[in-house]
Amino acid sequence: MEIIFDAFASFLNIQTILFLFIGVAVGILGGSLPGISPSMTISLLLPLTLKMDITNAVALLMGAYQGAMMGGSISAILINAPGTASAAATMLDGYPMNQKGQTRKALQTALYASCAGGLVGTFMLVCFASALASLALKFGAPEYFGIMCLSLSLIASISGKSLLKGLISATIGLFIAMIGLDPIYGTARFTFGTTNLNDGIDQLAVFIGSFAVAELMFQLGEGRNELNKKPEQLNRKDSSLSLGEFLGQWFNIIRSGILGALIGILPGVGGATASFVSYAAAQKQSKHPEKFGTGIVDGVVAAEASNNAVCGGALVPLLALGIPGDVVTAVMLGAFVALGITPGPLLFQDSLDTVYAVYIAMGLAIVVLAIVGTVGVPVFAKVMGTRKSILLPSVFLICFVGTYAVRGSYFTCGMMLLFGVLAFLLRKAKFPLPPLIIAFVIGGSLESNFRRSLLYNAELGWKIFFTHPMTLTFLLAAVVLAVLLARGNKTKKN
Amino acid sequence: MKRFLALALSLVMAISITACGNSGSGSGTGGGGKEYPSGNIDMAVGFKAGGGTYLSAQLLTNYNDIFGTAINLVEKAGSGGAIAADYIANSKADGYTTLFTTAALPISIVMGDVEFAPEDLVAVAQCTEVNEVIAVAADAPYNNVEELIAYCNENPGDFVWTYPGTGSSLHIMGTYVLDGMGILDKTTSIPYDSTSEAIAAIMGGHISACSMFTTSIGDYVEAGELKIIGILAEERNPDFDYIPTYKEQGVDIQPITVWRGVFAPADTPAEILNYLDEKLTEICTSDDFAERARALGETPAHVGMEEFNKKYQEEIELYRPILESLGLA
Repeated sequence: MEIIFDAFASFLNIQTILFLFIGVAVGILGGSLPGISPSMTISLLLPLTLKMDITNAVALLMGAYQGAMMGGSISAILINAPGTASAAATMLDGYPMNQKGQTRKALQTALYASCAGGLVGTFMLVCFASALASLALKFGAPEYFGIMCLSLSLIASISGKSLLKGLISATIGLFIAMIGLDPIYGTARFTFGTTNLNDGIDQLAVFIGSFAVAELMFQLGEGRNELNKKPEQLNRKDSSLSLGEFLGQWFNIIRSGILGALIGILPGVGGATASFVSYAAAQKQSKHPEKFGTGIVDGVVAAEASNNAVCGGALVPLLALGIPGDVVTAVMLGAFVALGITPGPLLFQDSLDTVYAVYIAMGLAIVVLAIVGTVGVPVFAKVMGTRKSILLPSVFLICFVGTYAVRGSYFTCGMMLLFGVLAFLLRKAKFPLPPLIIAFVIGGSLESNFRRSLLYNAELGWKIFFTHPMTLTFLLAAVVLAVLLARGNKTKKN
Repeated sequence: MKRFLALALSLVMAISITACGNSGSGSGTGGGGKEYPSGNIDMAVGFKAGGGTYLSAQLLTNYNDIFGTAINLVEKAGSGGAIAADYIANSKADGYTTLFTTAALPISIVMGDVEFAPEDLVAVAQCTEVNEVIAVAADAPYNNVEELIAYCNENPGDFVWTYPGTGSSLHIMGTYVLDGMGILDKTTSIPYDSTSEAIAAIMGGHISACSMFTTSIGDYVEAGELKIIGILAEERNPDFDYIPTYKEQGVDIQPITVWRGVFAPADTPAEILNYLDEKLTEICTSDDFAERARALGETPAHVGMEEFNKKYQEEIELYRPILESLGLA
């Protein structure tokens, strides 16, 4: 017990608190810029941490981690371009809310849902770290495949009016995920001989292209008068998120937070999957599922609570096993090692004070995030007070700079434009985009885990899926869910 | 309001551009009679920021006073480092564009992943190296090479080993080692996306072994989670002196290591190359560098320009037959 108080006391000095604030502010900034991923933001901070003591370094890193996860939602809401891959699901309702004039409300929802989700994630980390870590180890390739199938079947629920069009859209997403090197044999697939496509198509290029760029093309279609209107003439009635409204989301927050944390503990499955799964789950259980995608608070809450809870989840395997749960924690592993801490099986025995420092930094970072965010939201919301004829070209520029920054190559920008056109055409033909995106996000690990499973045991072959109880449960649940959703879809039409 | 927006946007642009490094500020005026270096030196890294190679490249950014200018890391991740190598091989040879890469370079050349000839790049200095090991679960029924060979002969196909990605240096080295033991065709290999995922799979009992670097061993051995069959090195690594080499266990293979080092476009003027060679020698043989490298788990192992170039060419020939036997070349 004493050790907890000692750790807590070490945070109570101006310097450490200052670093928390700096971390959160840099995180929000980096997260909100498309192209600067949370992992990049944190690697930019790494050189600074090398000269700090552990408490300050942990404060800076955890602040930046939470800040970046929230920051991604800012550009997702404002310009329909996710600042981070995990914020892609936030766009589905966040941007429509903004279009309806509820910019400030959307940003507030994202902020407070992030904080609440972050708390759920931290709680799970603090209370169940070792239990969750051993659960994560139970996941072999067949289990991963099972859970990916289950996530994919949720597509049926976000397909919108036509299940068929949703499925076509998902198939396109899966196809895009196949571009690049074969995960098992290393053969190039659909790369047209260019090494640029060997690693597949960048997630951010797909997200920004199919949402932001396609949206820009749609806006252009509105004509000159609309675009040149003064913002005051647009009749925007902005409101604030009321406390009652937010508290009404408590169940959504807890469910999304737990889902996010659980998905976060699985190494190699990131925030993007977590937020889409939580979004679909929220829609599935909602009393008014048809309103999802039209700009409602529930959707933003689900996505944002989930992706901030991923932070806590991803730290579970990092601290308990030394295995990073996502890209950001992989970068953090490097930072910890450079500071002389080796996360892993011995950490809880040898340096419990470091573990508590991380827990406390996580908790305090959320408080600081709430403070910085509350101050920041009105500033960010003001961006929408600009005439569209000025705002839209600026957005286009940000899209370019952002996708260029991903890999420092113009090729990615070209991909973004290509996906912009593709998404524009799909939207014109009334194909829903979310199934495409979720299939694309899940496709890679769906395939590689399927094929790894087949290799595990040459004698069993495909029968391996029936010999793993957890996998079988997931697969059956996926089938049942898909059938139920499809039937529900049919009855709705009749 | 408009002014605010303009300011905010220019800030956004300025930050994103400087943050991703490729600001072009590094491309000083190569000629013009000015003495080298007159601007920052851009160093492209073909692997993600925060990863092992990038962290290793970051070591060099601590020595701006020795270089006489700033080293500016440019992340161009992708295709096992091939994208960054392509970019540098086709860059202006003015000494302001350099490449930081690993033994993945000769491998991607043999695999035909790059669009330049090996001679288009010149090796300037090897900075550090890391050794390959084969790690297995602590409760596995084999403790050393001899027992592993016996196990595989009795239970062909049961030994499932992994590596981070097909064609990665660890794939090649693991294959080379198991082939040297004569049991390659009695094992099953499955690629994972990263070593850490592979460690999780070993600890969960889903697979038997992983071909990985000493940098990833961490505390797993001490904590009783993993044990190590052997290390691919000429002699035992002083930081891991409890791991016997494959050679002492009777496996007759060459001790290839994965090096990390600096390259430049082949046409870079000789005096600039000599300057870089001299400075990198000074840095990489310093105690400060050694200490920082060891903190990352890497072995400081400086090799000068001439010798490193020979090694680079030799490795291309060394890797060719291995890759061909895997059907990757």
